[in-house]
Amino acid sequence: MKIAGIDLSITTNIIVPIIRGDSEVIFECCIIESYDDFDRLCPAPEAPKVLRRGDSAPTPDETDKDYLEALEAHSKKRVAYMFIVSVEPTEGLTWDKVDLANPDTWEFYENELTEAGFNTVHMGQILQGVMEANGLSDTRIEEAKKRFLAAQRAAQSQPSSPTVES
Amino acid sequence: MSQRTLAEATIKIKDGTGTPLEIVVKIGEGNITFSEKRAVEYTLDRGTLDTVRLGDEEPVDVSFDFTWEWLKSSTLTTTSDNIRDIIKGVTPYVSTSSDDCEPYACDIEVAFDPACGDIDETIVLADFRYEEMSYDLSAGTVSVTGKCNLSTLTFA
Repeated sequence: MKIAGIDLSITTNIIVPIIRGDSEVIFECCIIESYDDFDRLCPAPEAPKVLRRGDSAPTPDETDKDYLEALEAHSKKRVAYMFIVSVEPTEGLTWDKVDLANPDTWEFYENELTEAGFNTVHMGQILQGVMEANGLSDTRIEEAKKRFLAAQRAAQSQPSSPTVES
Repeated sequence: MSQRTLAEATIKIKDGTGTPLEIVVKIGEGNITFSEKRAVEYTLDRGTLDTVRLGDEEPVDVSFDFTWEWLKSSTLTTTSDNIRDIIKGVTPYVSTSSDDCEPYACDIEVAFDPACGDIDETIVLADFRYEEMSYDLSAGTVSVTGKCNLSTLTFA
């Protein structure tokens, strides 16, 4: 698929250089094309059904405390999965405790980064790269919107071609 | 154990699936009773009381009789009696017993969560097997009696 002649299948990874003293570590963040594996390994929790006295059918109880806790845990796992998969192109990166096949290990990524000497600012920078690579950066979205609108305004303000009268 | 009213209690009936399937029951009216028993043998020495020994263990008797306000579960259906199904072990419920040759069992947790700052308390009636289940259709109540394969219960 193309839009205005641009091949949309070509994506660019975001490079995040982390400066540590005299050295630098380069993280490379890619877009996650599919969350199918995530959904298979970590299905979204379902709200329990509640049947009240006199009701003819049960209805989902989306205020259930356990369900809300499970939902929060699920979204944390989703962020962890996005982080781990997005930084996979980083050259030479291997995890000690994180195992992509085991959702219970995904949230260890923060501990591993801390143990490797990355502080919260570094982690914030990498996460920003992950968000940008996945089109979730509010700043980038806002900038793109402004560029698009500015281009539209510029096109409208250009004088139309003179017509030639015979 | 302090005096409790079932209006501030919920009952969880759980099966033996890895992550247990459970039905949470909010009691409207009714009661739950259970009794821990033990046999104590008093040995006489020439007609006078001498040694005391514990006899054989006895299972805990459980009985409940209630109407419910609401049921909550991921497995609720409208085509059958949900409480009866989990107590009797109708598919998809799995026994809490690891021995396939034993009759189906489930766990019952009675959780008191008073709104006015009293201390929470949970009573676990583990490995429960019903022996009699009776219905009163005009009162809308279900009465169940049975036993836990334990001599004492867990209070937490």
